[in-house]
Amino acid sequence: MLEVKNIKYSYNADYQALKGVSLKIEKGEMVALLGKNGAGKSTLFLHLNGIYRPDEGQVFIDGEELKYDKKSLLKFRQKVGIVFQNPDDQIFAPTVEEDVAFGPLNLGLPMEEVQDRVEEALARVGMSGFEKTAPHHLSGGQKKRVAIAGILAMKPEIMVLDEPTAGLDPQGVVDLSILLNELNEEGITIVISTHEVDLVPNYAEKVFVLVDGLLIAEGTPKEIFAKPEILEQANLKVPIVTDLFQQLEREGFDMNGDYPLTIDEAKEKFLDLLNKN
Amino acid sequence: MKFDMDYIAHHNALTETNPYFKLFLTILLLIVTLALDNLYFDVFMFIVMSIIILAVAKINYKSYLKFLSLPMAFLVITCIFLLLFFGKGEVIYETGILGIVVTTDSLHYAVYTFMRVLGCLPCLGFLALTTPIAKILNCLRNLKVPRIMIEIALLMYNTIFIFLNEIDTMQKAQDTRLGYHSYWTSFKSLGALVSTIFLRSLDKSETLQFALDSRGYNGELPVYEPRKKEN
Amino acid sequence: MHIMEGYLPLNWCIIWFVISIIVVAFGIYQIKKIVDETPESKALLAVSGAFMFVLSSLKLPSVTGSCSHPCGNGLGAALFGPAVTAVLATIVLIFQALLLAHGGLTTLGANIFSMGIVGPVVAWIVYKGLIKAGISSTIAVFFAAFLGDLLTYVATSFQLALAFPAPTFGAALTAFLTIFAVTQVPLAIGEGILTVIIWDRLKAYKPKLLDKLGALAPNEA
Repeated sequence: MLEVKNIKYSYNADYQALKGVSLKIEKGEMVALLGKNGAGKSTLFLHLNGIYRPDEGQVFIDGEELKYDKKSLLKFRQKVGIVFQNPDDQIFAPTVEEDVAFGPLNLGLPMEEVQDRVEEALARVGMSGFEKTAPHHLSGGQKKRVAIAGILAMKPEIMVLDEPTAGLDPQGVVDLSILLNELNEEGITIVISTHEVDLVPNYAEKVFVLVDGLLIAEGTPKEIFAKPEILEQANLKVPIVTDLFQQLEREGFDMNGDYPLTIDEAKEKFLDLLNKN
Repeated sequence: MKFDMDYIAHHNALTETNPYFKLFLTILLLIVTLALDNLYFDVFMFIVMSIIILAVAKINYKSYLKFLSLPMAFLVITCIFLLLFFGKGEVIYETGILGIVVTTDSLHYAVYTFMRVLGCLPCLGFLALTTPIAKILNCLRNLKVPRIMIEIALLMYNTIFIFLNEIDTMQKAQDTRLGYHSYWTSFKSLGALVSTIFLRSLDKSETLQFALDSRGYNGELPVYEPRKKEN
Repeated sequence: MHIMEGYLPLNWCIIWFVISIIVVAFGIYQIKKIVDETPESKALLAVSGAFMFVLSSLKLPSVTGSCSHPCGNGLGAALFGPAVTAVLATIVLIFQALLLAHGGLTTLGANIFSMGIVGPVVAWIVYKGLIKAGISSTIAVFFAAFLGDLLTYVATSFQLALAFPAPTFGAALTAFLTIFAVTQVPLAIGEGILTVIIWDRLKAYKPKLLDKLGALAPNEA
């Protein structure tokens, strides 16, 4: 379980990025943090494993407060893995395998175990065979997968991904969704920041909406996307299928306030409407 | 980069050959070539090392010629310079221009320097074209070169390519808007480009630190030993 | 101006290696102290080194039609001091030899001496001297980069004249200096101007950093 209590953080005297954020994510959940660019998503994420230290407030992991001494930080950074938005910001080693091995080696694991984890993590993201490749010879999507492998190899309980679909091609987005769903089913808690509303209902059980350093709403995707005032404040839109059904309602179809969020739901609804008429 | 030695170093038939062997062989051959300073040996080295690079490491001859071309062009110019302006001794050729002459000494300098470079260049090429830099740095670390220097070099390596990519993109963008149209605009564009990269590099040093810390960095880069492949 | 692989005879390779190693060792000792005090500076140094490498791979527009590359030593010296710059320059020179075939391994010592030691030391002395004399950091940084570059060429000429002292050392030095004066002075001015453009943007966007590094004139801080 991950809990954030009333976190405030300022980059400088003029700019407070987080103005008191509290949220709670249960073990095994898969949640989305929605918000436009500059809302404070990345800043919040960097608090979750102690890279940033809040001016006020606390972070709890499994009920234990995050402390900022070396030993506690190592423990928490193993539990909470962050995948950076830009893989170029995360990958630094001269070869793929050395980069993936970096985290496990810092945990002080025996070499044998590190080798196993590197193999396993690379296989998991479909990058086996690239062990000796230099990261700068990879494509953007491949770099992303290596970045995820680097975190997987640390076997985190909670995985935090900052805009994971940014820069991926459509197939890459599908592959990533499948991987994240698999990991979630294996028990890893997953937190994703995004502004791609179409994808959110496919995976997220819970959604948080962050605007200008404040959490303005939380709930199921259904609840959040039914509140136009929230979406407007956050500079977001409803998923495209939802938009379609809202327009249909204006044409005289009765939706009973229940708009589909995903393609699957939309299909059901269509069949429903067709049968009625 | 059009000519990418780093890419060749990662993709040739000798990439996985023991880097210590390659490093020591290169240094040994360089020292022997310099120490002997023998014209025949220089030619011998040039031929043997070129054969190794082309036939054993299986590096494309075009890439190898590109590797040689820039230093060779420069070498020819400087050797002509040595030939015409240096040395005393017997005059063996008069150019008839401004009293410039070739002497026995200057001929000796020019020929020996030319041949020495000719013998040494393929040795450098052998190491640079067959061995990824990171492997050489790992060798140096095990050879007790100060750790801090190796770590800075290792952290530098990846960053270099990120910057080169950014510069490439930005230069194209500037060129699109006629940023290199005249001498003075070229200067201003280059200055803007370089200072932008510098400011980015400061941000990059922060994100690099975050990336390291996020995965439990304790101030020293750990050394990974990959599993030996069983055949 | 790199001396290429194999260009110098063995004895001179060794001499320049020995001299350079002593200075670089001192630089490493300094860096160790800095990193022990502020561990984050390792990332900053690495990224600055990468910047120096990248800078040297850019072509400087030149009046004479020849092209050359800025080396960033003046900037490095003004920001970090000469000892640290010497270490970064050493790594950059190794990378240049192995990634671009600029310079070489046997001539590494000689190149470290001219570009990693003489250039930065001159630039640093000029910079600090002018700042102390009350001159603005922008002008100081121009002369630091210009003279740092120029003295690098003088050092290279010196090294070449020592290796090829014919008919006499003096005559050889004059010959090398003449060639460099014609080809390199415009480039040194170019590097000076480029460094000023970078410096002004640094002053505008990151004044705190410059202040923290102690790189600004007292009245500018």
